[in-house]
Amino acid sequence: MVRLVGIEEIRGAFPGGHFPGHHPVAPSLSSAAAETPATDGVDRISALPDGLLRDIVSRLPVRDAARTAALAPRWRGLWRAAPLVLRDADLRTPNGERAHLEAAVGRILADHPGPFRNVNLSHCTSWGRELGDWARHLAVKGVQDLVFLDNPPLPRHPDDILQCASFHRLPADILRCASLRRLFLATCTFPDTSGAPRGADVFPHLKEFSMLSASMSEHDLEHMLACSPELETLALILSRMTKRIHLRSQSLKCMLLWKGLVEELAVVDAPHLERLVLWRAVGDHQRMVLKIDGAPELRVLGRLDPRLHQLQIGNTIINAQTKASSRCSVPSVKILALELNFGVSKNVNMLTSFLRCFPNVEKLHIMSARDGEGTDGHHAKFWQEVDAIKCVKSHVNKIIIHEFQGEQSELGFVKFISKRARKLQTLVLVLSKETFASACEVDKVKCQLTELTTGSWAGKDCKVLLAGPKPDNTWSFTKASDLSVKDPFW
Amino acid sequence: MASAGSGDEKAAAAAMITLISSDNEKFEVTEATATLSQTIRHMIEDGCTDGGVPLPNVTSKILARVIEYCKKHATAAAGEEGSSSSFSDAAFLEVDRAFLEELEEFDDAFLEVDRATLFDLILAANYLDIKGLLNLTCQKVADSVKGKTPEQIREMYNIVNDLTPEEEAEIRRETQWAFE
Repeated sequence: MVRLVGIEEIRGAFPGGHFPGHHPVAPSLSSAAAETPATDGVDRISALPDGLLRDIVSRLPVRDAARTAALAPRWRGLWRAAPLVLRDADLRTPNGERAHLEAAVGRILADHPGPFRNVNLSHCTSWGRELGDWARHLAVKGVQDLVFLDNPPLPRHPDDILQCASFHRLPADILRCASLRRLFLATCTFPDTSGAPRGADVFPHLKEFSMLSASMSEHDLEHMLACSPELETLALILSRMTKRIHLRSQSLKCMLLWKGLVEELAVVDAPHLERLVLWRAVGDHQRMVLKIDGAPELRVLGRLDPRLHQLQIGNTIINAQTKASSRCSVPSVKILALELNFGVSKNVNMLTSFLRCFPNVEKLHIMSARDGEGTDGHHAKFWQEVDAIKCVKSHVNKIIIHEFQGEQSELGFVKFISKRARKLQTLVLVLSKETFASACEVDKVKCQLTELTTGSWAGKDCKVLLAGPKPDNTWSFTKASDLSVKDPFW
Repeated sequence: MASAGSGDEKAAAAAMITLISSDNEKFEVTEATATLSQTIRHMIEDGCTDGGVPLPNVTSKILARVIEYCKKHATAAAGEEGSSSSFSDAAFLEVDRAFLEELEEFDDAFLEVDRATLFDLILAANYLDIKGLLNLTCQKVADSVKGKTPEQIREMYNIVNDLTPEEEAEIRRETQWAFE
């Protein structure tokens, strides 16, 4: 028995993209109890062991942390003895000059003996000698988590990255920070790695490497991968790469290519890659070639878009005529996300070809796109006649259609899965904002669905959920690359 | 999330641990609750919990609070484990969110204590090696210091300033950027 569940809003499940270190600060909840001096006059805080006091000091914004030195002799050396946590945002003053801020950053990096636990420089523009000095301090004093953003404003429009031709190049000392665990670079050019030391001891602990609106050559990326034996996450966001990315890494688990400019991404040898997230190409509307070859553990893949991606598995280029075969299938993929226009025959043809490449998919997300192309029919007949697709027939248990509008072309696909998806337990239709805004449209969709759900379904006991749109529709790249989030496509 | 309760019950059926405070009060807790403390986890692994675990550094008043925290968070951990095998979906997201919000509210309310208790909790969390509780309590102290002048902090925490004026001037010179 198929059940149609009413509108449900998925509240707050989609936090917007944000820059690391710019997490919203929780309001400080100092209760009256903690604010008022203890009446017994006992100094309990200074009685804490050094280790705990250092812990407390390193939780403070850098200015507050350094000022504790003036409390009493007991406190004098604590800030210097605690690992440095420096966010330059904490040093900004209203109407403060940037030169002033940069001078303070320079002093702190020079004066604090290290280790540097967390350094987040996203409000400075300091090029030339200072930056060279900073990079040397960062390397010598063992920076673990480094966020660096040169301060010209981030491109407002993705296409602007094409214009950002003159990023400054980072000093090569960055390549000597062997203590790095996380590196996030933005609006800059990666240093030239030719002649730099190479090998597993260059970045022995680096787990996460991200570039936002930055540029890097194919050669330099290859160098980073070869020098980072523990790298798990590689995120290239709005970044300008040279033509090809050939992915070879024994440790990489997650790769994110977010609005990047790349002609070809080839997963050549990534035995532990679990997740590959692609989202939209930028610039000229040339398609990107995605080659999947050596990725035996790949479980999560998306959003593949037949309008933007040309898929190649092994040596086979996938096209509308491609038949299912073990040579061109990736059996490990369990969660697949696609984006396409159901109303365009080229798209629906490719949809079936793509689905045939991933025979074991259990959860399928489809973003129903509307673009300038217009539609060329409902394709109801196409869906009635299409040959069996293995994942739909035997494995898919959950399908989520995003931006659903109740168009005939979308309903054609829903009807298809209602007849063919035998394992289907849940179908979620997330309405588009426009559709959801009109009560009349919502009723229309409900009516259509009620009609559909009263028919017989291949998946017994399948639940159909009609959901309201996400309140915040931005897809966060931080969430997409967070491996603790099992399904990044919600 | 439905398995949260049953997970706890399963652990309860498996083993109970007796914790003994410095003033000799005994507390029976499940192993799942007790092992939020790394110190106790190691004792259990070494098989030295028969006849109870004496905690000579923790009073019954503080231990009761610490157990309250551990119980709540052990249930949370069991809930997470229970849901980890299934894909997150709309319904689960809702439940998870509500649960996390509840946990946050619990933590906020838990911190509404007087100064002496707060510091006793820090010392107990440090001794028992309970990461979450140590984080929570140290952050509370850090938040109370944030944005205050040294004078305000001294007054708040009864810190006696025995720096000579020369020493204090020297410190201010050394880190001038912090005092501007």
